[in-house]
Amino acid sequence: MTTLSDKMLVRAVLAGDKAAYEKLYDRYAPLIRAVCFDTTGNLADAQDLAQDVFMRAYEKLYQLHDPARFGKWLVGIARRRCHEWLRRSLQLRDKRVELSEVQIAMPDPPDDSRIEQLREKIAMLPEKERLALHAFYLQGKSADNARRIMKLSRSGFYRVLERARKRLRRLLAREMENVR
Amino acid sequence: MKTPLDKDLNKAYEAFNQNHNHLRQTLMASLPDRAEQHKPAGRANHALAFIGDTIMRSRITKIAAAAVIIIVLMVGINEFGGSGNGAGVAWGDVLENIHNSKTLTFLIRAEEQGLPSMKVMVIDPYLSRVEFLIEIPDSPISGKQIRIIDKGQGRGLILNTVKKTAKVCRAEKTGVGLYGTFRNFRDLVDFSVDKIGSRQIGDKQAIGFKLKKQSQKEQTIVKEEIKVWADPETKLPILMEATANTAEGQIIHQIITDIVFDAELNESLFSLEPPDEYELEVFDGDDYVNRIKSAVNMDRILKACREYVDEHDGQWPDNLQDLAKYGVNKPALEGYIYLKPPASPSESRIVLYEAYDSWNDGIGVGFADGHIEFIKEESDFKNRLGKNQDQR
Repeated sequence: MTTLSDKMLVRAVLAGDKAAYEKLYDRYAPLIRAVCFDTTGNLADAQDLAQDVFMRAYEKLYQLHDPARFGKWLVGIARRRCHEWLRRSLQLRDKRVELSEVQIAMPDPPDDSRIEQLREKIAMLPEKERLALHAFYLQGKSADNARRIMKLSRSGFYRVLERARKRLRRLLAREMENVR
Repeated sequence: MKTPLDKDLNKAYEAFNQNHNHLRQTLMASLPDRAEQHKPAGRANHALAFIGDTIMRSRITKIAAAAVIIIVLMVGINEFGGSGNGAGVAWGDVLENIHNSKTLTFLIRAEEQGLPSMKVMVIDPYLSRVEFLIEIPDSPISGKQIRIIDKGQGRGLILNTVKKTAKVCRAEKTGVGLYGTFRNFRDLVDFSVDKIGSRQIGDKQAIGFKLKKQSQKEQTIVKEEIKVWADPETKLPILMEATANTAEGQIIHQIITDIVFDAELNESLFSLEPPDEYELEVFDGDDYVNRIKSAVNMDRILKACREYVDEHDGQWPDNLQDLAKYGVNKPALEGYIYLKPPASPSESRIVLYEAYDSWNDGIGVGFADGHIEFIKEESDFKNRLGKNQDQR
């Protein structure tokens, strides 16, 4: 089976093939949800934001100079959208405090606590390391795909990924010590 | 075997696939049937875009801009782009004309770097010929050199007009990419483009475009800037000025002049037959080609090693045969020595190198961080190999 490149898919979308966008969505939506989750901290909001990111990308697709860099471009849109979301959330929170109506966000369905803890620790990693983990684990563990999103050489990507894992192990070990 | 962390990470990331199909359907249903196209704007729109770019950045001129835009719409020209013809030249027009041309000749100069000027001739899509003059007083290599490449055949010919020697070499079987010049002409779509007004060049009031591109090569951010001055009548470049920084921090400035598209070029200029009076030299290109092939092969092996490490709790394979599962088969493994490192080895630890009986020009060496080097000196190689004992 031939895997169509991002470049070919983007060109197909611009030529009117809407179905090609589904393929791009399948390829990148989990990654974009993960990037959004870093800001929102809950899955439902991350899913909503990711939908919005794909909507915006579709509208602005003709502005993409290099279709081969669709992944990196999309992550950029996601980051900007997350900043907007955060700004708005903070404004809303301030308003709520003023009105003394503190709302409690509905938590996500219960998850394995160890996994939940792991997600929390991932969110504490530096942005570059976080993106390396997201890209690697959500792009079929292909370092080639993941490094392209980050514009890194293969060895450079592995270095960042290794650093992320080490830091994650340290954070988790520290957590265990605190529990004891 | 996967590490516990690896398993947990897999599980943690599964969440981001939840409801994927439903979310996809919802999104696709809400999108318009066709993604918005970048419609080429008419003359007035180009002028608007240009004026917008140029003026709107300044707060002071913002108010005046509205009046200027109205004038532009009414008379169809703008005062900032020079002549009326110029205002109508869009980068898309220039690019389309470049794409449609079949031959190209130009002169390229990079005098500040002490490089010789080169005359380049190209017949789309495979043939190229570069002539350059080396002027070193009393040097036997002074004189004109000619390099002809036929990328369709994957062959080239290098003529030394002083020594009257000819070398036949191999070339990559792709479209023309010599010195990145003609290819750059065609790939300029990768750049961001701004109009920069007009300038008198000879008897032409040329329209300028500034193209900028930023990319990363290894650890260096490479910034390229090309100013293209186009003839408003033919809508083709007549002068280009290119600036780029190299990985070594050097700034390269090149000027491309005497650009002629669709000139009649005699195909005999691109013949790969060495002229009669030239002596044919043996070319060492095969060694070079083999070196590149081996480096690509080593890269595959090291990549497979990393995948193995990821799935085996940081442990490296005992031998290269263990990599069969990762798509590296026996033929690709022949001719290499593998040195199994401990878990989490130092990045500069040698893990793979080309087997050799006697040292010739050098060997390919692979390191634990995945990079490959061609080491020329045996003493250097042995020195670095010896360090394996002192590091992880």
